[in-house]
Amino acid sequence: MEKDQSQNAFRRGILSLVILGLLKKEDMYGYQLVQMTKSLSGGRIITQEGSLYPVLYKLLDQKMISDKKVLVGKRMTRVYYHLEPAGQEQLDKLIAEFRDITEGIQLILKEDTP
Amino acid sequence: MTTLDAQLKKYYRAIKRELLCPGDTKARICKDIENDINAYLQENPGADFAAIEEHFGSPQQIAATYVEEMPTPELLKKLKIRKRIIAAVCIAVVAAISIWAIAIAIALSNEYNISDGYIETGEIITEEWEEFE
Repeated sequence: MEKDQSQNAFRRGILSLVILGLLKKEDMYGYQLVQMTKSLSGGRIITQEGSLYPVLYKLLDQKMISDKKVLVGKRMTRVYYHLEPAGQEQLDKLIAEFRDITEGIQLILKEDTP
Repeated sequence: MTTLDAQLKKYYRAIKRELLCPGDTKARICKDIENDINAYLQENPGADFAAIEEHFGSPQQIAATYVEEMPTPELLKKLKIRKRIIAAVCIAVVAAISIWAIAIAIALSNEYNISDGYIETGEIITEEWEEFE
């Protein structure tokens, strides 16, 4: 269970973008969000339940996503998260910001290279 | 209850102890993690507790990653509340010890005054004998 501490600050803040982006594809439950984040990012973004849930709860409070309990098997329930219209708007904003920042960083790095 | 169930119960309790958030949020997170562990066990039926902890992290790791994602104002508020609780407990303990010390001092002083400046160092026991005829 190793975590690259140097990437923490970078990862922090993009989790909302990642979660909203995944929920745009389909409704997912917590464990699925963690697994899909890892597999679709090619192993580059590894998140854990401890980091996932504060962000999920914040998005729920802001009504950007909603949740519903689904009975799985006889006794198990799963909480599926669903992207709401406000979440779609927020996702569009975050994508625009992300592209902006990425472009800015690329320009800076381009300047640095001889 | 299986060994794994007992280990998981202990694990959830440890997570609740480590988390820095209100009680209802702790319960909510533990329930969600429990659901995730059930989903993990469905995909990995033979997994033991060590494998589960390896995948999800120790309670300390879960609490640490939770704190990393906590909004800063909320975290500062939590830390301030903790500081205030610690300060209040320290003040209460010092006050209790002070009151106890003063009460002892007053009691000893009263004892001294009643005895007209004399301090009891021992007790002489006298017995009365009855003569039998």
